[in-house]
Amino acid sequence: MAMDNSQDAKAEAILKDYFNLKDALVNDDNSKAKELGNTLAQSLKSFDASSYSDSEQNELNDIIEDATEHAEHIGESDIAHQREHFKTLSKDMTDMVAITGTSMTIYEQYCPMYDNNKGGAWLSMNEEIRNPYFGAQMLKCGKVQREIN
Amino acid sequence: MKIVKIIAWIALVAFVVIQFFPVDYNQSETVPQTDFMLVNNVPATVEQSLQVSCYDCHSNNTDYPWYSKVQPSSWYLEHHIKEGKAELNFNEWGNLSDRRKNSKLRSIINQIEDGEMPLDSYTLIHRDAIFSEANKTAVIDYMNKLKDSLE
Repeated sequence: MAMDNSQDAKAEAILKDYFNLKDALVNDDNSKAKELGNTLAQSLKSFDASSYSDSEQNELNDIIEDATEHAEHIGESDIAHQREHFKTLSKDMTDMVAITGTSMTIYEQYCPMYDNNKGGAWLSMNEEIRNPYFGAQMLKCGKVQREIN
Repeated sequence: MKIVKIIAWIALVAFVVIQFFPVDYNQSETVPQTDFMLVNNVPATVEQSLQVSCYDCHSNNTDYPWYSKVQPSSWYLEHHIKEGKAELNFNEWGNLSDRRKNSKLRSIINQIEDGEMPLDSYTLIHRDAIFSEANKTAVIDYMNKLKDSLE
C-alpha cells in the first residue's frame, strides 16, 4: 500500500465525490447526481498512479478508466441508468480503495433486492443503511457487509 | 427577390467548395486478432446481427453508402463513426481488461434492450440493421452469457 500523502489525497477526493454522488441517489435527486457524476469524472481524470508499483499502476489505470466512463454516463442519464452505472462504479471504488488504502472508515453495504434480485453493493461513510439503489422507495433495505479500515 | 438569389448563389458555391474538403474514411482490409468474433465463440446468427447492425460505426471498417461521398453527409458520418469507435470498437475487444469488457457488455445489453442502439438516424437508411425480436433476444442472451462468464 502506497502511503505517499499527495497520492492519498487524490484517492480521498475521488471517494468524497463518490459519497456525495451516493447521497444524491439516496435522495432520488437525478439532476444533483448528474452534476456530481461530472464532478467525480473530473477528480478521476486528475488521478495519477505513478507512485504505485507497475502492477498496481496497471490495475489502477484500468479502474480509473472504467470508473470515469461510468461517472460520465451518470452525468447525462436518467436516474434508473444512473443507478445501473453506480453499481459498477461502486465495484471500481472498492477495488481502488483496496490498492490506495484510505484514512476514512468505510462500510461496504449490500442490498440483495437491486437489479432483479442480483443484488448491488455500495460504499458509505455511515454505518446506518441509506439505500442509493432504491432511495425513498426502500431507504433502509440492506446490510453492512464489512468494514474497511 | 435579389437577396434570395444572392443567398442561393452563396449556398451553391459553399456546397461545391465543401466537396473538396478531405474526409478521413474508416476503412481497413484486415481484421485484427483482437476482434470480438475471433476472441469469442460467437454463434453465426449473432455474428451476422452484429456485423450488420453495429460494425459500421463500432469497428475499423465501415461499409459506406453512396451519399458518404457527398458533403456535408461525409462529415456527419465521420463524426458518428469517430464517436462510435471511441465508445466501443469491436475490432479491439481482446485488448480490453475483464473489468472493461464487463462494463462494455453491460452498456451493449442495456442500449439494445432500450432500443437506443442501433441509432434511429442509422436505421432510417439501413433498414436491414433493425433487430428482429428474435435477433435482439439472441444477441442480448449471448451478451449476458458472455458477461456472466467474466464475473
